[in-house]
Amino acid sequence: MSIDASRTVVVTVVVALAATVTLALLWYRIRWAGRAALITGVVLSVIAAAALQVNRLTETYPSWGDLVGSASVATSPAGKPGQGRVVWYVVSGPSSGMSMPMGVYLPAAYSSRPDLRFPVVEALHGYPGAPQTWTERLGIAANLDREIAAGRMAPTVVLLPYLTPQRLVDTECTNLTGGPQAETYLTRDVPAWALEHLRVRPEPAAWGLAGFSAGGFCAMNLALRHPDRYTAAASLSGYADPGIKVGDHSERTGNNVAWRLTHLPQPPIALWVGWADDDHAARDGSRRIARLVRAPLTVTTAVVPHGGHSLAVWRQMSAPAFDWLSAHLARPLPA
Amino acid sequence: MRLTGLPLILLAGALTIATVVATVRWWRRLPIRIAGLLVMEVLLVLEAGLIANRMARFYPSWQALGGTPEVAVVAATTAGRLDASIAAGEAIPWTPPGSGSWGLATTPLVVVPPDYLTCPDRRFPVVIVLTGVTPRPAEGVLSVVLAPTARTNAASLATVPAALSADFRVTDTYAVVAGPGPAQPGLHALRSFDEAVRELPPPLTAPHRLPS
Repeated sequence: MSIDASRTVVVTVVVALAATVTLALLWYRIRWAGRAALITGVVLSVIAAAALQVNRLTETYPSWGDLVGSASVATSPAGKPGQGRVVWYVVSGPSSGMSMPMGVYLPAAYSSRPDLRFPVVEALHGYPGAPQTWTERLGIAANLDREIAAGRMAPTVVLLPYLTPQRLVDTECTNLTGGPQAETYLTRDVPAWALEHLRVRPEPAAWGLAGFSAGGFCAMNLALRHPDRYTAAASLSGYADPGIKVGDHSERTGNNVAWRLTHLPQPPIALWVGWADDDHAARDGSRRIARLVRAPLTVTTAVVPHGGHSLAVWRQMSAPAFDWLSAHLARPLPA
Repeated sequence: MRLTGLPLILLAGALTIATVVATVRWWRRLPIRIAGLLVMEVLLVLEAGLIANRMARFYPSWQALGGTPEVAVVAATTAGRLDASIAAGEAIPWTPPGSGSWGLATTPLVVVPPDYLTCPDRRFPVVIVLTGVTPRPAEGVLSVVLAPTARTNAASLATVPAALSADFRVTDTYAVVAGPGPAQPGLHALRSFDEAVRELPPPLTAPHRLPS
């Protein structure tokens, strides 16, 4: 039974209910020690049920092994014809010194057209979260399969890296002073690994970024900081600033999207900025970004009327965002 | 009552306390004991959820809790005005209204890609060629050959994209190829046609779009 299965949550709820009823039934038939044990059981099982459901929504700990620090690396079976698949690798970064699992979506054409090199999107998760939020909660593989089959997207390799080695450390894809060097890992180590191990195109014109929530900020910030590596970025409910302390105060300057757009020359790349209109923080940040964009930077905005800061919003935004990205990335080409 | 409002949180808190009091008061009755404990648990979890949601605004409204309405649409690919009168792989002179203001030496030429008519649902990216050399027809790109003069710059060519998309099935993605001469101000230009094609996306069908 996996940690993020709805059955696991249901079983825990049933255990909590059973423990509660048992406590009520046996109250006058057992001693204090028994009562204390049952009360503890009730409290723990209720907390466990709530925690499991929260974890299911965020995929902070995608497997039982992640709870004790041994991350899962399970590869999905080979897809049917016309279906891509998600393969898991451990990507060690010599520049950042970080080593983490990474999901890789390979489109169906990756195996049927061994002569081609493909464009790439690095898709970044939120905080708290994991690449499994994309694969398990947002159904990214099926989404990409559908868009590619319909011709709305070119066959594209999508990389699903972790943004942090410690689940509860929020890096916002920056190099934290005295902490994880997430920016280096994501913009240097991951691309270098992909170029070495996958048939992907090396040119910046073929590289894009996408992300929801914290990952949305990451996508915009990394693209603006590395326009020599990425040509387009899509932010789903991202913010204009990281909302953390990086350690060198750069959250107010170089790692602040609004500050960069106000004070630095804008690079010739393209941004897609989407939000739900009732998600006030992401809406205000995104609108501010859209207002600050000047040529040669371009921005496309996308709004859903309501849905908050939730998976339902990102489920609906994924296809438009990836379609847009694909229309801004260089095509698959013979190697 | 708003989902993120204090009244709802206070109401849930009051109900929790009332449940605790009632359960303790009638603790000796088994049905009350069972129901009281269960309701207490549900209310406590609910209260914690409401407080967390008020702080982080995951679901800012009752509406948001019910998901989000499907507003993404796929617009149909509309045919270009000249689609019916062109042949794939040919280079045709093109004189759309307004082309006189582009400041060109000769009539613009459009090179139709060989796959243009076999993929009627796709829109093609564009290579704008300013070298005066007519490129061979290339798969997956529509080329426009413009012969620049001293008056040609980004501003004078601003209406080219709109004119192209009226007459042909093209996207708004462009690459510009210019010769070794002086650069046209405001244009990010590449040196070779092949390089331009390599930078462009393939022809795609109309994308999912959200309101902007």
